[in-house]
Amino acid sequence: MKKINLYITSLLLLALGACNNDFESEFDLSPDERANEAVQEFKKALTSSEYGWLTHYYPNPDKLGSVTYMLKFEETGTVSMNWDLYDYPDEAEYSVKMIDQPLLVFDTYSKFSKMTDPEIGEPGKGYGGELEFGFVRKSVDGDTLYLAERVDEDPMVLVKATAETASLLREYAKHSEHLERLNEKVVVPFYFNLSVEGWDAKVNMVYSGDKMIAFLSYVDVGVTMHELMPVNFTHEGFEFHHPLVLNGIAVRSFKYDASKNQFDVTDAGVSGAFKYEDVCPAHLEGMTDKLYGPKTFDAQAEVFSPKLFNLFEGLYPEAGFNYVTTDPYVVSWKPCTFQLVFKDYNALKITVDYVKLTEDVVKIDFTGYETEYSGPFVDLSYIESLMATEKGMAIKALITSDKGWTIVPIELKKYSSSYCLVSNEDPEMYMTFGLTYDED
Amino acid sequence: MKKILFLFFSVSILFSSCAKEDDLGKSLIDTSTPELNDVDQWIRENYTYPFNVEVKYRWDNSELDNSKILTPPAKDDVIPFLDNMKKIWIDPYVNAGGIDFMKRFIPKQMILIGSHNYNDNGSIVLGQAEGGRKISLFDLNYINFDFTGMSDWEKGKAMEPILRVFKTMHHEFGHILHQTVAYPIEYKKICTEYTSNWMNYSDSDARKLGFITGYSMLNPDEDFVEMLSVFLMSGNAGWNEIIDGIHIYDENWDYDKAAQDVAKGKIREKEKIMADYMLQVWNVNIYDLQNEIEGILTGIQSEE
Repeated sequence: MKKINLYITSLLLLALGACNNDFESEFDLSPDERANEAVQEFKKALTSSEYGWLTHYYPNPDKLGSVTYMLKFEETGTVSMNWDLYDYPDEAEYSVKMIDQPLLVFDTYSKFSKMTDPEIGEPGKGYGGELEFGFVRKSVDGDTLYLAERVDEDPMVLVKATAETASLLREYAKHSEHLERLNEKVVVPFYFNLSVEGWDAKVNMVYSGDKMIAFLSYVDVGVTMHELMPVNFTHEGFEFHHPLVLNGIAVRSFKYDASKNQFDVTDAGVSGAFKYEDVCPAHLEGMTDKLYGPKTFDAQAEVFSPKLFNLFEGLYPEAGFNYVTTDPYVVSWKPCTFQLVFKDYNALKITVDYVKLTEDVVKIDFTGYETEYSGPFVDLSYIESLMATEKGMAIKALITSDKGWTIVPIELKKYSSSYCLVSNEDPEMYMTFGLTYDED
Repeated sequence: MKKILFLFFSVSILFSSCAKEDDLGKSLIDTSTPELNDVDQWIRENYTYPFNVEVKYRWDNSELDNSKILTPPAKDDVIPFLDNMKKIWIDPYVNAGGIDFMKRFIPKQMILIGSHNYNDNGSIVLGQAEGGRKISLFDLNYINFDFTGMSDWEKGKAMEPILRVFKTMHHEFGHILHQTVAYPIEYKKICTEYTSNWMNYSDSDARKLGFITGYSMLNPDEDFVEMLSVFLMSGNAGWNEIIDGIHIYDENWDYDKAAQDVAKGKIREKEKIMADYMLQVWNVNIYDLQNEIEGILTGIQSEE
């Protein structure tokens, strides 16, 4: 009997429920129509800009700075592009599709794919960028599109380009070169320091072009601070990824002033500038042990300040100066040599001892010369005669100065490192070393 | 009573379901023809229509291992790659086994990837096959078929990734064949040193044990397809050179001829079983196939 009641109740519920057709959607359109509309709206927004879009894309803002792209999306499904590193127009296929949200997908290989190429950046892992971007929102005036990476959700902001943007993009690389200290022509002291009105501290910056990231060092209320700051370039100068705040004053944007060879702060209401100075505002613990310790070997310097290059150039009459190579271990099992290698690949070897003065200052003690097995430097008296010239004596005095050399790291990674060695005798004399660093 | 109630219940559902003809609205499935560019059109004409193969060269995350860092291929590299794949792999098999043979066994979906596919240990995956239906090929952005202005040495270097990727195709295709009709069980008894630690053996070390490559030591199936792919991609002279080049030394650093003969004999015995199997089961003469592929590879290398 109970079962019969159950069947009858079920039947009644079914009959009444089946006929209930009164559901009203909150929306005018069905879900798939709304999804399709969202995709069309996204594509329309992307293709709406006559000159395309400019974006400072940070593929991995924890580790890397930005590459700036100019992207022009066409109705046909192609996107033409260029970037700030060098002038090389490129093109790829793109699509806008609905997966879990409206997505912009870079379909075929282009400059943009380099952000995910496992050959570029960290071996096997690349720069950490993505090829799929979700649409977040559009600014009220439609001039800015806010996108986010599909997986990591890091933002990509597209700003509407103008007729001038393409030519302005070509200005970016010179600022990068400036910060990287490549092809320096003007004699300046090494330390690139930021002073801001209202700050008690100066902030020193060393820039790594490989990772587009700045290494900032400063002393804040008696505490030495070090910070990695990803950077993007602009046609005027450069910007930090996020503001640097000291004493409640935030700075982020800088504009190059060619007349003063400095980068002025452009943030509203803030006055300050990055200038080349001879003062190191903050020292780093452990540098001498790390970079002149038992795990280091085969350091080579190929980038020199113009003043130091001029000092080395002309010492050896047979060939121009080429590079410096040394074994930087402070307690080497054999005499260390500081070798001046010339364009004919003959090397004048000064035997030295590296002495730790402080945590980041190393002194180079002169112990003699080492002759070669062939070539002009087999003859000790010839080496001594060169080093007895005015230039030779100046080189020896600088290298072996009692004030030593300050070690300023550019980037430290597992199997190799690069750092600048800055003369404390004359901070306009500096060289950039790359060395093999054995972590194991 | 229960039966009557059940009948009544079912009839009620039937009538209530059919009471009204609902408008199902527009289909959720997009059946419109996508816009085809020149590459898409080429693929349709050369792969889809003749062999019912879908080639995906555009980025599609759903087709890939999401734990890997990969990039799509450059659009300009797609046609040269597929064109050469057709010449080096598909056409020779069509000529050897017939068009129906290839239509039946060719993987029906091919995914093209531009970058290397790195494993965590730094090794590189050249290709992946899934059940004979789908095949993923990597490294397209590192393959160049334009030999214009190259020296012989440069051509040789440029050929390395080409040989590698198409050896992979022959390897994966070999899997499809032996998974359809197994090769004779005698093949599995020729060598006994199969090991999951195959990566500890160089090709040279593996050959001393009667295997053609280090990877072929993983199991008899990999052994069989490695034999097939190396055989087809080496040319007759190259294949004989590989086998003749097996040298084993005794304790006095003299050639151990007996051991060499054993190793060479094992490879030759496997070659014979492989050749018989391909001919009897698939009507494919692998010596003719090897000869044709060699001619095509020579032609590619001599193109200016």
